[in-house]
Amino acid sequence: MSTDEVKKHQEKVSPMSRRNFLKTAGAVIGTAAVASPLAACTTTGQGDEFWLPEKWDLEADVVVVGFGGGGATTALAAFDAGVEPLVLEAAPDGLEGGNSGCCGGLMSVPDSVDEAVKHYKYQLFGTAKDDELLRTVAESFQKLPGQLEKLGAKFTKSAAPNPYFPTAPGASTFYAYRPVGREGEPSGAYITWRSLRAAIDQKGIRVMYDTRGRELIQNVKTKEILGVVAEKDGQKLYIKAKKGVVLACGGYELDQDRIGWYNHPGVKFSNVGTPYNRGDGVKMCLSVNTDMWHNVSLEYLGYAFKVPSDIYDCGIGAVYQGVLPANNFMMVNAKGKRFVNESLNITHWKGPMEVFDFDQANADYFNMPFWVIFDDALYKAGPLGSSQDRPGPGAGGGWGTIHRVYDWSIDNNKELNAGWILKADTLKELAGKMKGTTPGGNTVTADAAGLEDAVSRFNELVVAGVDSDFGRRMNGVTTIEKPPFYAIEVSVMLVNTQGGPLHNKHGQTLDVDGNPIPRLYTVGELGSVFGWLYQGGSNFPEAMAFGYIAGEHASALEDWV
Amino acid sequence: MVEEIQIHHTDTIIVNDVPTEFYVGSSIVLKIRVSCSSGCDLRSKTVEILAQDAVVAEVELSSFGETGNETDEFIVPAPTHLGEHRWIVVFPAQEQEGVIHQESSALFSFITKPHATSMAVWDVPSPIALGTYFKCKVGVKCLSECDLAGKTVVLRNDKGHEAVESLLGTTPWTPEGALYWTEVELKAPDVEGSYVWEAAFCASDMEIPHEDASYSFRFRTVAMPDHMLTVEVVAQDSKKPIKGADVTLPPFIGRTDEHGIARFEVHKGDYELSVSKYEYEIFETTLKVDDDISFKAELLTLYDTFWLR
Ligand SMILES: Cc1cc2nc3c(=O)[nH]c(=O)nc-3n(C[C@H](O)[C@H](O)[C@H](O)COP(=O)(O)OP(=O)(O)OC[C@H]3O[C@@H](n4cnc5c(N)ncnc54)[C@H](O)[C@@H]3O)c2cc1C
Ligand SMILES: [Zn+2]
Ligand SMILES: [Zn+2]
Repeated sequence: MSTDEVKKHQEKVSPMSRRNFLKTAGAVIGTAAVASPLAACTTTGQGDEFWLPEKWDLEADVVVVGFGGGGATTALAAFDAGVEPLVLEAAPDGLEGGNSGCCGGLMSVPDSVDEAVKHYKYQLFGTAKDDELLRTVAESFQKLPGQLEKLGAKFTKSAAPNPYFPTAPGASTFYAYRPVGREGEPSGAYITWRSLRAAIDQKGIRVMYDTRGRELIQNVKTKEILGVVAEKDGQKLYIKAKKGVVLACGGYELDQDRIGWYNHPGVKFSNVGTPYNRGDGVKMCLSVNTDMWHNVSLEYLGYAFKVPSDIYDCGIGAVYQGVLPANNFMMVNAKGKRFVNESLNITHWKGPMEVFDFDQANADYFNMPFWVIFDDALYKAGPLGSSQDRPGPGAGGGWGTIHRVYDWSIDNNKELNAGWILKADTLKELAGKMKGTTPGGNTVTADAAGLEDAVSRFNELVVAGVDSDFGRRMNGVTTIEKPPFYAIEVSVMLVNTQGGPLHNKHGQTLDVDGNPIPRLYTVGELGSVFGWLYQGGSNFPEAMAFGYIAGEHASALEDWV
Repeated sequence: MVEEIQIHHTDTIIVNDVPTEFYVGSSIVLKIRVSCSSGCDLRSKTVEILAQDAVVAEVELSSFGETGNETDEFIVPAPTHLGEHRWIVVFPAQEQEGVIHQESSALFSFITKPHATSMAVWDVPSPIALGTYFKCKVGVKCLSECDLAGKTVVLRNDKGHEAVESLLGTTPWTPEGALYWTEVELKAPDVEGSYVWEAAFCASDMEIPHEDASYSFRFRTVAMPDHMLTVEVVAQDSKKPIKGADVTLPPFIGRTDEHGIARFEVHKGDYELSVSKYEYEIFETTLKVDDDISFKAELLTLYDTFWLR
């Protein structure tokens, strides 16, 4: 930040006490480190105010938990409002940004607010109670491209409407904004994220990396949220938030317990976004009696290769028709049988529920574990996974590609030797090697006769040109016949969780009676306003739009001290 | 003075888990422990493995410790004939320096089963013009990786009639595998349709027992082609050729080369052409083929790829 800017900022915060002024200056000098000038805060915690810590380690006006899209714009809004934000980020410097930093970055912006509200409402199946909130979503989305362009971001707008649910009411009002990067760069949110991160750094906004928000400090009488307990280097830090706390720390993708409790027990997903969204926001909100909605709602994105995904805790590979180097593959369960339309998986969907079909008689899932099966023609057609140098599926997005988690080999041999790809001369032999564990914990080996039958039937459908069994798009699908044969165990990729705490149009988190919890805000993926249906191109803008809204609202509050 | 003879009881057990089924001639892994009631060191003494009175192996106890005396892990080949087998591990009685170690034994039983075999048929062209000859490959594999060179495979048509017989070649399909294969020539039926034919391997002339195997494969027959259809695929915006686009014209399937071209020999008629390539919208149209024709498909770039939004 230039000296001029610093001055301007100080002017804005002029009613601030001398102590506050010093802190702002300190923040500029101390940049993103744990700013030591703050350490000498007042002591509290006596008498009937038992909820207060003995000592605050740090303080700021607005404490923001999470440095993704929602956290970044919250901090920018607070800064612009002339107050002092402090951002806590669980990931190390360089791995911040969350899903916002590695997503597709497409923003679905409506032309008409009324039409958009109709569209959003339709997809909430009567569960949306607050039309004002949905209006705010649409209005704030309209402003967003302009706000981001001021930070240096660039977008192209689709020439025609580009709705995610084209047949839903109001669909034709949505246009897609795609980020534009440097020459030759694949499009992706990392481009927009660069602008957000640069703006934060340039303004000298304090970000504490490797710092994980864990608990909220609440005045149990007034219900006000007074601060956050964070964890850094194994130490607890008590951080005072004089105006408010904004939770922008994403969903619970990596919280295996809650995934199991709210969704499909026993199923291990491969996460395609940040590994740092561990459900801390949900837990903090539960502890202060917030209401929650749509916790059952997960967004899937096709299939990843299971073993490497487990090893790297990140979806590796993508079993997509048209993305794999050839289309002669199919997916089978342990009976060796096909069970799903393999070409549907190119889109996000609520539809691959066959994967989760439950076998009542055996109290286990029918179709897990499951494998992708292919032959030597596909194996030799090219790499099955991507790397940054050789962009494949999702070149502009996904945690794995953006952060270069794993580079797949050109000839697939590295992965074959690692045992991730199973290989055999015949299908019968291959089946014998396809061993896995059901979500119920039973060990199974694929049925050889079943697999031979299924491949034979698949080849029949290929020859007929129509998949009368599962309705797969048969464009360019060829037979699976050339030995050796291969199998890779696959898993469902998880984009993000949609559910979580409810909030109003200011981003204020609601308690079980529908009242705002004073000084607490939740934005973005942590309790998305879209709740049930993932609105492609609306989640990233939601996080940023509500960051601006919540940041501004919290900044306008009187200090509680 | 009468020399005092001491009698020590012994106990013989098989330490490892032994399966109850083995392929004929496969390896049975064993590890034996003999313990003495007085805890003697019995190293250099041997145990015997007996099968119907014949000794199939004699193995030395090589280690001594708190739990007794043990052999190293060793391998005995399973019988090469089918059946149920009861084998006995015996530690024979022996005397040494006034100590008699009594005999002890352990029994185990298993069955031997034929080697598992499996087949594959590949490079089957489809569709195939009526009544024409076509080639494809047939392979057989023994899971125990036996050499199957020179063994016979038979191909039968949908009516179960033998279409051709062939001998498996000497070199496996992949150097590290054991899939023995041969190329056969077959004559397509004279009637248009979908066919299921079968390849079979009969194991009766193998020296050691093997399973029979069979594999069904499918193909489709079409009328004799009389025209050449050339499909050229380009990107609508740049007009550049698109390589690797999937072109389907059921029952024909093709892929474009580096010039964006895919060629088909077809019989005249109406075809549903569809062209697809990741990151482009699917192109579909109906094509009337009544001559040698060329068709250009221009693909629209998808605004977004669904994968990311
Ligand atoms: C591969 C992929 C593609 C997508 N494509 C699109 C798209 O094209 N368009 C679209 O609209 N949406 C898309 N989405 C969804 C969109 O990315 C998210 O919904 C949105 O970015 C969420 O923003 P957020 O700020 O709420 O959370 P995030 O961006 O995930 O940020 C949360 C941050 O909080 C940090 N954090 C977590 N816990 C703590 C803690 N306890 N303390 C401190 N920090 C913590 C995390 O490290 C992270 O930096 C996609 C998602 C994925 C994964
Ligand atoms: Zn003894
Ligand atoms: Zn054999």
